[in-house]
Amino acid sequence: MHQIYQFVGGPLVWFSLIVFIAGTIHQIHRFFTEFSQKKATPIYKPPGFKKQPPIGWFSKNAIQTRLAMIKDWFSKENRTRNMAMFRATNVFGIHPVMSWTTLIFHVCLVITPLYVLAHNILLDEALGTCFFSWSETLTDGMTFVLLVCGAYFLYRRLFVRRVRAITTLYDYVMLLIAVAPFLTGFLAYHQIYDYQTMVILHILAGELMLITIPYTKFAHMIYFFLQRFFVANEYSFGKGDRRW
Amino acid sequence: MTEQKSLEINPKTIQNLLEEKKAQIQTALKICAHCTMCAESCFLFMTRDQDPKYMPSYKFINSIGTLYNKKGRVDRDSLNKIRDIVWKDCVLCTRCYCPMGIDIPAMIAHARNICRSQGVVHEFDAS
Repeated sequence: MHQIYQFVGGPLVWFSLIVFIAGTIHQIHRFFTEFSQKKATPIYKPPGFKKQPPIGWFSKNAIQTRLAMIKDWFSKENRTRNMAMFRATNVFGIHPVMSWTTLIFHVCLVITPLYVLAHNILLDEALGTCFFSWSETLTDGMTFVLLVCGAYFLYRRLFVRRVRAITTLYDYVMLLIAVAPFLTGFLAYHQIYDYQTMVILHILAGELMLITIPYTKFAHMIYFFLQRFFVANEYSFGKGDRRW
Repeated sequence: MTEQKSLEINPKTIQNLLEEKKAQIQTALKICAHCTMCAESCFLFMTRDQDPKYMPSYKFINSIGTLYNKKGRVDRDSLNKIRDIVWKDCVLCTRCYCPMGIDIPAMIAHARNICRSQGVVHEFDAS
């Protein structure tokens, strides 16, 4: 048992981290070379459009200009148009339960492993430094919230007609892989079932999730931000100079 | 032309067409999280009693997805089913919204290209 623990908590961790990081870099590279093409069609410019001079960050009035732009966003004449961003016709308005659930799920997914006390103790022992830790009650609560969100996703997959129409075995497996580290961690922390086994399963589940991130639909972790910043569409944050 | 010529399906032609957009098709099929958030953006879904077959994700998964996963080795029946999906269930209005940013209209349009290459076309003037 101890040798299994040494193996999964040693070389296998390095392996999964290398696969995760190399895979992420590989997918980012593929995004820029294979998946998206640089803009070929000109973006429509409304009549009377004048291109503003670039503001930059370090030129004379750069920061003042930017602060003025932010203030202007809230100005009375712009307020109605800008508040339309929060209108009920966006996905949060049409699907409030799903949207909030997925938001909370993803926040807990990313934040919890970083600030769990147990992980930080291990990091401290291994590397000498670590993140700060939150109270175990808090991280335990966040894990539980995540499990509830995962249960909601499972319910959707099984019982909501439109989701069932495009659900395959792959979706159930991916949901299990996403939830497994948190479920096993929760069980290990509360010492339900045999602790030694549960901890080894927890580490394996975490490593499995890491290696599946770049090469399965979990790659939306990478592509979501690339797409929002680099692909021109009405939802992009940046100027978007690529198209799929 | 109101009759379709009875041609053999040529998988090689389909494979070449799929190869042209291989990266986009592969990404779209992989990234689609099957979340169904695209459904309400399709007016056909909204006005046809929310039938799942009108969901943009359903449409592209069962057209270009089928062609890609079968590597172009489809029979005429499958192509006819795909034809009905991409011409009857979609008008390529490009209003569909995908939180992952998948270009669904491009997938549907490419499926139409593939169908056309095999002589499988929608009869717009059929009575």
